[in-house]
Amino acid sequence: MSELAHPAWPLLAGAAVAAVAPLPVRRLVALLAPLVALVLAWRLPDGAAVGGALMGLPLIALRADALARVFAIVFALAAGLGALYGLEPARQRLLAAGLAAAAAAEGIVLAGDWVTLYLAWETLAVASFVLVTDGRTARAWRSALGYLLVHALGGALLLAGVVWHLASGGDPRIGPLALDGPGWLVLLAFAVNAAVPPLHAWLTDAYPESSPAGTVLLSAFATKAAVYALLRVFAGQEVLVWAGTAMALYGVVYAVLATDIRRLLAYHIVSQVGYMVAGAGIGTALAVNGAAAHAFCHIIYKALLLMGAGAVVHATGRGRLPDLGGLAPHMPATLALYMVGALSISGAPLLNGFVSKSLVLAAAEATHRDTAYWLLTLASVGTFLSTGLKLPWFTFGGAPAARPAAALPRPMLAAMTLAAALCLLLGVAPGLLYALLPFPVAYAPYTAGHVLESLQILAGTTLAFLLLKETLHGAASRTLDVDVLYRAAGRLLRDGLAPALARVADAAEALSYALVARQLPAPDFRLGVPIGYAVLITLLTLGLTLLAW
Amino acid sequence: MNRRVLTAVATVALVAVEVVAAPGHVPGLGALAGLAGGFALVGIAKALGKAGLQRPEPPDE
Repeated sequence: MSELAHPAWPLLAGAAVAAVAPLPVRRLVALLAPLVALVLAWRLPDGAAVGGALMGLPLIALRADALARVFAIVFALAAGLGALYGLEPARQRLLAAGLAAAAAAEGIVLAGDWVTLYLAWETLAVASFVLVTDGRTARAWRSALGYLLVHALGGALLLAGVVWHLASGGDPRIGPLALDGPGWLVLLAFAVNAAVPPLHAWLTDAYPESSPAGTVLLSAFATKAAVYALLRVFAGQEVLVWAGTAMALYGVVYAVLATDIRRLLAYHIVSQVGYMVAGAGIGTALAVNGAAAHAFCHIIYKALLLMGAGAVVHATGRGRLPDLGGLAPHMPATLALYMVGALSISGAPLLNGFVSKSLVLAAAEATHRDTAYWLLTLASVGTFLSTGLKLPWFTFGGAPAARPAAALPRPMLAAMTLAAALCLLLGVAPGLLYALLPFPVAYAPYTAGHVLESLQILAGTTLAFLLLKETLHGAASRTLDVDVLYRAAGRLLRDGLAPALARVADAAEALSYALVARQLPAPDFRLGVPIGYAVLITLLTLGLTLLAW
Repeated sequence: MNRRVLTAVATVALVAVEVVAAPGHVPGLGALAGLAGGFALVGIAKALGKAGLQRPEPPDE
């Protein structure tokens, strides 16, 4: 096989086979495709390029370097872990959409030109939309359509920015952009996918509504592909330091309030991606290494955490903290493996989060950004408080409130064990991770001061939790987020544009039923209305772009 | 032993080890960050919840 074969190809082929093949073939392909993609990503040499041309524009489908390779490797790894976790019952929709999303994410990080990036960006949005619908509830459908709507807006912003950039004579190959007109549009599009507040609610709304395996797969791709894009295009933009720091804190505050275990973990995706965005903003070699390393480790430990939460949902049919409790004697392996993920995300020594998060913090310290350093450290406290203490305490500890009704399938436990082993391996041998990073690493994470400080943070946070835990255990609740504001704005807009929207929605509804609904169970409401919004937003943005041109 | 007391003792022990093993570090800064940070975050979150951000979960469908 050529060493320039694109890692997306086996994933796309796997998605196509998984969509139609019988169960045994589906299972085999779901494991083989990510494995082949992993080998291809690992073997990509620096400077490799494969492409052609379209209407005078170069199309570079594959452009490899160390930064792209580290993301390509971890996306293949995430696809494999997610597929293994979802191997029982191995639904066609889950595996096909999961592999397609992984292929699209590979397409983004290996794209060498703006047009290829845009095409892969939109493919990822559509595949992720289908993954959200794997929750197979009316709420999952609504969240999926919200996801599609927000990402249609993000995609339209990206398209507008790219067209503007190319029309003003910009380089068709992907590279750093200045924060001028097209630059801001592209940055906003990246911010939508990175879930930068106030553009983040699609994530915390949609991810918890998918199936357990769907949530694991979703958690890997969209936000981390956006982190890659920020590192590639906007490294060193100061605005990202503060956006990232705000994200890190925003996520942990909302996670303290969350009572749904998968929504709590979704808020921690926002928070952890904040470290990566801040790293992109700092922009030094250490910070870029830190952001890339943290994305790599985050994909693994977050998958493990969501696998643990998904295992609880699978076994008990419940996902809200007030309905859970006392599961430790029934699910000891799940608790132990979940805690590996929880300690990893909290930056405990010997685990992968310790060796990646500290790169970003060291970069903030080295560039004398003391405020950002302390606020990111505060976010670490909140991370352990919610994921390492609150969630396991009220789920696995305390009085029994739920007994597992279903045993965990072996593939679920195997995927969790593999993810936990990777967390430990990278934590014990950080050189394995550092060797993959774009710049040489001279940083030593295991100093007495750093280890002791980290242990003290964990101990101090535990003490705070033990003193406050009664106040953290309340009735099931949902926290209002910024999406209430743009939902209200959307309602006003809808009322103003009702006649035009109705016509677009009717046309889109006919089309969507013809193309999509025949393949998927019909939701209990009109599918075409949100898709109509998506079409309208895209058309409006395209119109504005053409006017600007 | 009470969990809170045990954790407090462990925290103080970690600070004591830091004094010996990591000279130049401000002793106890990590423990203070954990304790004060935990209280601050819970306080902020609870205040936001009471201000109306937290609503009853809609029933399952």
